[in-house]
Amino acid sequence: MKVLIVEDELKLQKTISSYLRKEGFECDGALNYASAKHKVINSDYDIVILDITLPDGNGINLLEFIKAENLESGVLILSAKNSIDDKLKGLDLGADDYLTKPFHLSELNSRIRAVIRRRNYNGFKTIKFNEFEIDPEAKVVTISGKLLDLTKNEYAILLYFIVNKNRVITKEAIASHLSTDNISASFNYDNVYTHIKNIRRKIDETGGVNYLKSIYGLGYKYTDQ
Amino acid sequence: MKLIHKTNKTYLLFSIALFLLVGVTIYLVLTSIINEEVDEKLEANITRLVEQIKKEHRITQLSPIIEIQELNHPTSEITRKTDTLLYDSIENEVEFFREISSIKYINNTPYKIIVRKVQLEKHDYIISIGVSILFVLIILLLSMLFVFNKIAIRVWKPFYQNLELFKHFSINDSKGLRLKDSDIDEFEQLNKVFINLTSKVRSDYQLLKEFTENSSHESQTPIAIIQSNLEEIIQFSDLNEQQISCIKNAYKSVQHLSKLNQALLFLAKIDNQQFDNTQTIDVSATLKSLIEEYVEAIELKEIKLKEEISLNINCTGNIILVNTLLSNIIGNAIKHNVIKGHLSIVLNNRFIEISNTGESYSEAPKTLFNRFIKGDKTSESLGLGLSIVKKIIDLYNWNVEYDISENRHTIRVDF
Repeated sequence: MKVLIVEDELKLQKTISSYLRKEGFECDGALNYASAKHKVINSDYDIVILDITLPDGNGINLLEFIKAENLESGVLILSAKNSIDDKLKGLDLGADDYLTKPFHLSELNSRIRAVIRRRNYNGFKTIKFNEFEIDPEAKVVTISGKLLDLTKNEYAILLYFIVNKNRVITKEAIASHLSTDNISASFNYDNVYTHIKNIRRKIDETGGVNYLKSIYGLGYKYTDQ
Repeated sequence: MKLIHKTNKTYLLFSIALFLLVGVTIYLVLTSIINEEVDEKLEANITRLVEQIKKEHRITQLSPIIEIQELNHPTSEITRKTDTLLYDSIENEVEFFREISSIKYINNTPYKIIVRKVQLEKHDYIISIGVSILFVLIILLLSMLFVFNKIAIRVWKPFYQNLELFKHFSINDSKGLRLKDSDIDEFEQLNKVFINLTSKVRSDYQLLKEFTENSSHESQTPIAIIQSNLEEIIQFSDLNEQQISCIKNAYKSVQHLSKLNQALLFLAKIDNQQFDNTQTIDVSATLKSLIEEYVEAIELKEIKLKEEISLNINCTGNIILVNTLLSNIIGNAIKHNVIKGHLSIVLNNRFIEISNTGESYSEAPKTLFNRFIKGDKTSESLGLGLSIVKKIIDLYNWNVEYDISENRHTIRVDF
């Protein structure tokens, strides 16, 4: 998987690329519109992470260029402007998703994975982790073929953990993942705790292995290591 | 007091004073002219009587108008002019007379000749002058008031129209102030001053808003860098307890900062009228789908939910703002609820009322709408949720009531 990160702030670009490399992506960076345009022409990217405000142009223009040239890359807009208009405009123009700064790296990862899943959708594509199997289309989780009965939020949390496996996830990141795009109605952290308690109980009842570990003082980690 | 009333009042008082002065003057002048004229006539009569006595040796008596008396003791010639009251036996009433009494030597015999003429009395003059003046005064004042008011309405019309425009002037108005022209220099100057002033205020405000928004936007990227780097640090497996505690504090603070920034940006955007595309919104459906989203949170707290939602209730507004408003008040009612508490949601064609069990609050419920006011000081919330609610309600001129009795919080929005 090849990712182009178009972000004029080098520090952020480096943080994102070092994170995504650990997640198994091949990363390229562009600091401005001209270099980003040059790179999308000369190389095939599975996904372009695009900042809207660039020193020499608007990221939206690059999106238009990618669509006009029929390039295969998926586009995820990463903007400091949490403006609904920008968001609608971006999605209208064919962007695959829109994420507002500041963001959780795990959220970025989960969005990138979702974009890739959607774009490579051919027949049944499920996410597997040991005996766990998730069908993102049907929103169904099975453990060794047995159905794991989850609520909407519990499903979202488990999928988030599996996509971000082997990584410490804070409860703030989970809460913000659950209350996507809702500025004011921030989810209560107590709810995250209760949801996780219920997920663990249900996995136990279904006979699965609890890969969900509490990391003291920080959050949770989904790992079999 | 209106300017026109003020000038009218001043003019009225001035006119009355002026007319009093004129009245007194007319009275004095008139009486002195009449007295002079009467005296001349009376003196002429005396001369005629003296001639008559001289030539015809006849003494005319016509009391009280002419009285002649032959004196038997010598006196010096003297003439006296007086005003006197006398009883007139023919008219049978007391009359006011002008009298000249003169002692004349005719053929070396002294005669006392008194001639009189009936006069109007002083108060007759005063009344007649007063009535005439009052009449003129009233006619003058009425016509003046009429003309002045006519002129005032015409002259002040652009002023009042502009005043109305000023009253509705909003610093957010994109079009700026458009004032009616006037052919009166003073008003035109005032308009110029106002237009300059308001455009200056508007442009300053615009700059300030842009600054606020830009600074919030600009801080998003650094916050993103801090947050993502902290999230990378916590991936290290060999952190000790002290390091974890430091990271945790930093992470919590950056989270808070980020949310604060977003909420303030949102408030600024409402202020900047960036949510101006309004539409008819099915409140019933919006509310239903919101409750659907909150069902899990409600169940987690084992809250008893009571819904009385009328169907097909509409309102006009921006979909994002209305959603935020509803989501905030419902979210609050769940977040600040107690385990196994109650939540009631009522929607009808006049209002939406959300009532929930919760902690008591010692201060006036209205203060909860202020920025950074939290019912529970220790909570991690920003204290901006209800400020956003209030801002949206104010934007649409709706009304909100927040009532707390014991442990029951009730918020009602009339739209």
